[in-house]
Amino acid sequence: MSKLTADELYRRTSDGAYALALRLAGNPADAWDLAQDALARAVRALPDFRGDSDPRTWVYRIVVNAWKNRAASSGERARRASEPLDDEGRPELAANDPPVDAGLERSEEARAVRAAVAALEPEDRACLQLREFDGMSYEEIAAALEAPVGTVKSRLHRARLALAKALEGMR
Amino acid sequence: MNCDEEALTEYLDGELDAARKDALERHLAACRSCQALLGRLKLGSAAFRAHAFVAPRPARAVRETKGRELKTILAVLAFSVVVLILVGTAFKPQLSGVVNQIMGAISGAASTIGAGN
Repeated sequence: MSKLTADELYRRTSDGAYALALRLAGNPADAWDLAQDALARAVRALPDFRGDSDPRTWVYRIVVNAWKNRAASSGERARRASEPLDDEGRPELAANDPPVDAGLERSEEARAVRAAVAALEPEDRACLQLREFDGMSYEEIAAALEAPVGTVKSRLHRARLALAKALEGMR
Repeated sequence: MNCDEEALTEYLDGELDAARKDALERHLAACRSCQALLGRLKLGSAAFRAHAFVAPRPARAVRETKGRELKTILAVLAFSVVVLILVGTAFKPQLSGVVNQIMGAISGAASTIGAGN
């Protein structure tokens, strides 16, 4: 297999690294720093990357380790991120979205979901991100987050039920 | 089989092998509680997909273009300053004359105003 270039690595992993960092850090400014830091480390370590695994899993693991290091040094991990992701994460419009007159109800629903997402444990948010948007298998998520597969399953289960509860509370 | 809540999450994610999938589907057909729980898991999943989308960062190409634009603007500004200094130096005698004329006019006007008082 040909060696991965820094450019190719960046193209394939930077958006995902940022999205994962946002789920872990809980706010865009820290997420930006975290993703930049992790990508810089990945590029420096690129000559040692064997290339027989998915570069996303490798880079995401670097993101997670960088986040753990920061959290451990600042004591930040003890507190739950409380800032909602607000305008940073706008939903993509789907073809079967409701008409405009349902906009108010939809925005209330969006606020409720984002608040519920912000209240999740960072690792739970990360699991959801990797599953729902990156389409990773439990094994890949476990490798990226350095957690057992059973833990990944439990986190996904708990996180989805928390989001469902937030929506059910509105009805 | 008995109710296995987390197996429903695995089912939703396509993580069950064929045998476990068959067993779960047979159980689901008869268990209203698990049917309801599966519905809630699907709702949670759909909610995250619909409302927790993360806009990608600006592409590196865009940021590089912006960086190039900034460099161009700074280069034009630096060039303009150099040109202004050169022009100022070249026309210094004439500029001195113009400045003296203006100063003279101001002094004259001031004297006129003083005489009027």
